Amino acid sequence: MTLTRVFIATTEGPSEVQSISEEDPAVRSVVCLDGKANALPISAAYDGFVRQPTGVIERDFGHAAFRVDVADPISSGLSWQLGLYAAHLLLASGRLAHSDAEASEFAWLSGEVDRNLNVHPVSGISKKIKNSTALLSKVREAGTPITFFLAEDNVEDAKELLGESAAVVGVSSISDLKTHFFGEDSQPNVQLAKVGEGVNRSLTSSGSGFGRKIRCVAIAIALLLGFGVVSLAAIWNGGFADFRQYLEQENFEQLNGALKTAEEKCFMCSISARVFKYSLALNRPSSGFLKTRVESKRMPNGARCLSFVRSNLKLESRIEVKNPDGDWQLQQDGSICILNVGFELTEKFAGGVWVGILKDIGNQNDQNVLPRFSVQSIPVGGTASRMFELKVPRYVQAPITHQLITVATDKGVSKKLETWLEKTVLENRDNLSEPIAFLQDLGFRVETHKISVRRAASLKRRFQ
Amino acid sequence: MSEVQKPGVFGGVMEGTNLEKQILQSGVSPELSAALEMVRDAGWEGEPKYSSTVCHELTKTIAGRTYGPVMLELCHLLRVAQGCGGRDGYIGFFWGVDIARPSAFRSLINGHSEAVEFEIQTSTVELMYADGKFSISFARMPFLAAILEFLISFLGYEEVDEVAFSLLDGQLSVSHTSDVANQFSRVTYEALKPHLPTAQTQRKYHAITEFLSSNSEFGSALEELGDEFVLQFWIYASGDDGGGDFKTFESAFRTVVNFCLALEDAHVVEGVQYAKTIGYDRDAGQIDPGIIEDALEGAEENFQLLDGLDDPPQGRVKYLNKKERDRLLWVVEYGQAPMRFPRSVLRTEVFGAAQAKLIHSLRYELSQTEMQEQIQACVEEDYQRVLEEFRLLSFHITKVCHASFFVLVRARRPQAIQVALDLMPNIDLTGLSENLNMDSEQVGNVVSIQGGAVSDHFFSFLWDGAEASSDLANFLQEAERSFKSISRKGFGNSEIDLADIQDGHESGVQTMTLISRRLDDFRSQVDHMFSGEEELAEAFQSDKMVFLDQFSQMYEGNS
Amino acid sequence: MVRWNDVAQGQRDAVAAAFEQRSISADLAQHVFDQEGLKRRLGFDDLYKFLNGNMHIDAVDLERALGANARLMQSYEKLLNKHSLYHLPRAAAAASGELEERVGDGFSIRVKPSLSKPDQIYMLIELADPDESSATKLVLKSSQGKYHHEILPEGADGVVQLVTDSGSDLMRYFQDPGSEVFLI
Repeated sequence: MTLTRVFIATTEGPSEVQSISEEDPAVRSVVCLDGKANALPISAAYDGFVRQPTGVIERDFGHAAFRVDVADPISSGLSWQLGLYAAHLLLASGRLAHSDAEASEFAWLSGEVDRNLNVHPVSGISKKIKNSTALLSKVREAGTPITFFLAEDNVEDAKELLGESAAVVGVSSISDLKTHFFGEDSQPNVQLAKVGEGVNRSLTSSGSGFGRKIRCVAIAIALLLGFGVVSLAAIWNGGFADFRQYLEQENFEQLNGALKTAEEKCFMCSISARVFKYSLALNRPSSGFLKTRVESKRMPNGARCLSFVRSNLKLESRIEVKNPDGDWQLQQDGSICILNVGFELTEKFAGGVWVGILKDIGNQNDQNVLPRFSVQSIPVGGTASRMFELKVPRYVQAPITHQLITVATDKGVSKKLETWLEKTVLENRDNLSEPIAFLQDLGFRVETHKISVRRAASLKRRFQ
Repeated sequence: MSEVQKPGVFGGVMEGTNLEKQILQSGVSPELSAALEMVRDAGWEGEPKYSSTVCHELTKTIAGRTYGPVMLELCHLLRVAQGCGGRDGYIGFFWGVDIARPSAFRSLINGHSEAVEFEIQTSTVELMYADGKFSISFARMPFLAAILEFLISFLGYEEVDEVAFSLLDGQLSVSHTSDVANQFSRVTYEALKPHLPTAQTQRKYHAITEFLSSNSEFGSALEELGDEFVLQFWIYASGDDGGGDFKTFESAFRTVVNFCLALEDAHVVEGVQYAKTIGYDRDAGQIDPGIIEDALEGAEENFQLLDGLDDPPQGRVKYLNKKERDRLLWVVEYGQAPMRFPRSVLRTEVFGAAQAKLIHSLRYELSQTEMQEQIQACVEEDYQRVLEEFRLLSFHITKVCHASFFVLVRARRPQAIQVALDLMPNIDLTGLSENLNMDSEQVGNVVSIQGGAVSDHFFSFLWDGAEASSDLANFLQEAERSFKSISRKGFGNSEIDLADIQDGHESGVQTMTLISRRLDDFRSQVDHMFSGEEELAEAFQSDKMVFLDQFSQMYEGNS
Repeated sequence: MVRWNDVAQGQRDAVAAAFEQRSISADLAQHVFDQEGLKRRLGFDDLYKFLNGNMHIDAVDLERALGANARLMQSYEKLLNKHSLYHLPRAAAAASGELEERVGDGFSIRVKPSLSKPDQIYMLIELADPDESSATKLVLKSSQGKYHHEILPEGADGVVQLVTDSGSDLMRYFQDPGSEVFLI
């Protein structure tokens, strides 16, 4: 008989259900840790889940008090309900693997169960899955199948992390669970293909259709076509579909992870990744449509900038010249008060542009320099310009370097993309080369420039 | 009242028995000591529940033995507490706060503002009775809480609760509350009487008054009791007839200081009269009036400056280590004493340490010859060295004050302006005033990025080298250097932007400024006493002879 | 010039009183508040926090502190008596054998052995008024005057359940007919 070991997902890691035993109905049901006299905090809630009139276990399985022993603590919440109901279900049919028994399959569960046995979604699925890596490694090594049971609304989150090939079962009610454990094979929403197999059953079954008379040519053509189809299918199943989905949903982090994994996982997977990137590169915008300009505002006659400026005082304006590397280098002699950085679309551009300045706070004490990062978007079809104002400290010690970053895409820049770009640039501000390479792989046109401000020799030393 | 507990049972408080002996010798009973320690140790997560100021006020109250007024306040507060303490009544009120601050008690009381028996004002709670009113300020509540904690620790909860019950169950009136307060006061007085070191204190008092009565040289001018009196009293009192109370010069000095202060308290003499002729002729024994004024200013109020450095928020910054505090004790914590008895302070610093060594060596049963050698070698410092240490301490204190100034400027705390003026009263701020005038005269034309506040202008003025005077520029530069050169808690680069460290500096620099003034006043006083190093050295040699002679009489016979 | 011998007796008494206050205050401060490096002494403040579940005190430290200071022990007993939600004095003198149930005013405590783990016991504390603020601590005072403390888990419908080993201190104190029970 198939024995199933049940794991209740928690944010600290999955907790194995070691045993369930009946107790005197006069006592309250309890969840204990590892067989010891150590009742877990969820015991009162578990008793409510068991005992009538609030509970469902007594109603469905006929006994009013149980003791459950689990291997690891479960501290709070109600997401253990699905797992414990499943354990009771399996216990009743003699299929629950207690800790001393060998299990032929594992079940990982998280969800709330109401009195009508509907299953409701819970929070923290990502963390629960991420903290299950030890279990997943063990399962992979042993080759034991593991199925993830979750409420329907939690399935997408799970699949994002586990991949399409993991066995993730969405259940809307306990009857779905029962059907899985005790019913027929073919079920809706079940994806049972294992990671790495790469061959879709449905595709392998499709394939033929040529007459016998022109056997060699037909077979050859069939083989060629079949090979092409199989290759395409292989590419598709090597992750291409996943990559596309991530891209469409703008899940860039997952996309980045999936592309990296694909390159290491298998040959077809890496081909799939390369094809994907190539397809995107075809749509990369060309350069030259975006002009960047730096203008300094200075005190007249080289005088020292003041902390406040009278409105009738006119600052002199100077357009700064780039050096051969395409960057700007300025000397602060105390008279530079403000830098205006301008971005201008010189022609009608059918895509979207995101521009940002990563400011170097350096040794400045002037709080007005914050925030550290400024960003704006120029929409699809725009010919607009954008300006940023940077205050320049009068007493520069070590050189200050601001970084300008522009990201152009053939589509518009959505809010989600903006958020991700900002986060990525800030996290990698010390070395932007990897994220830039990734963006370029995705078909974005990325350009960076630097504005450095150094102390001029003529500036009197203010501090040692 | 429960039986007096046997001495020596401390529940794990001590390492060894030295402290026990010390306590017994001081006359403080173990039970009293234990109860005070419980108040001292009350706290939450390492932070004491009661500040050092409150603890010292507690000891003064206990020592004063007039508990009536305090008990009256406490009884009225008990009424408020009973209504605001929730399920546990007044216990829930007083022990429902982790740290005894006025604001904590205010929060508890504010939560019950619908009570009819009292009204919450800005800084007080007003209790309304049919026969009158009573007012308790929030600022007093931490002290009253400490009193109650002490009483429960010393008398027991049972005893205190009986009194509280008779209060809360009785008539809601001023007169009934007064009656209960008097009863409470009597119970406390009777309970404390056998535990206070009264006999020892009386011995000390008799010793000093007998010396005065029998010694016409000193007894004729109480206002002029000075260093010579201290020395002669010690020599007299430390002899065989003097008992064990004045073996150390320091104990004799402390007794004389307390006696002189008691004379002032009882208005036998007035404090101002201690000053010699106000004038400026040092040779004629006249004293710089500036020094006297500074010394009199706040002399009584800020007695616990050093202990106060541990109270939050300044406790988060380590201004002084233990060695520095010990060195500063006599100069900072004894009010006018250092100004009035400067040579005694020097004698305590030098010969007090020497005597401590000799006392320590008594346990080794040395022979007479060995003891003689010990006596001859016990003095390791001289007055010049002590003054040099004071000079270095003064320099250190200035440095930490400058460092605090730097922190406050960086944090743009308005307090920085006052600190700058305190530390550099003659600083040139003309540039600042020009900027301020520009702002105020041309209001319509000014586009101010920082805003119009004076402090904002000050900070911009500070950072803007071209406009600032060289004085201020140099001062800030020095302040930054000072900060970077100190590697103590509260002076780290990683801490400078933390709000609680900034709070610590804001509060601490005020205390350190006061300490600095007292130290500088003392040093000036000593400078006036001695015309130069030679005179100082002569004074030291003369004193050394006296002390070594006295040590020989005291200790050679004991070996 | 003021001569000491000319100072009137009334003023001398005032000086004596002032001197006494200053001297004693200095002694107290010097011998208590200025001491450093001493082990922290448990006090009333700690006991109150402990009973309310806001502080943990090791059983050994608590026993030592209470044993060393009679007044502290007395204060602790008063706290228990005055501030407990429920109190059960010692069991009836005639009670013998192993106690399975103890009934107090407004609550009862029953013990039942576990069917699945024979060496473990369930202790059920039932409160007559489940709406009353729930107890958070169970304190048992043995007939020898020693205390055992147990933090109570969350209950439901006025019932709190503990799981304990049959040979635990909790069971030993419970089975002692001379023990008192407090629910805080």
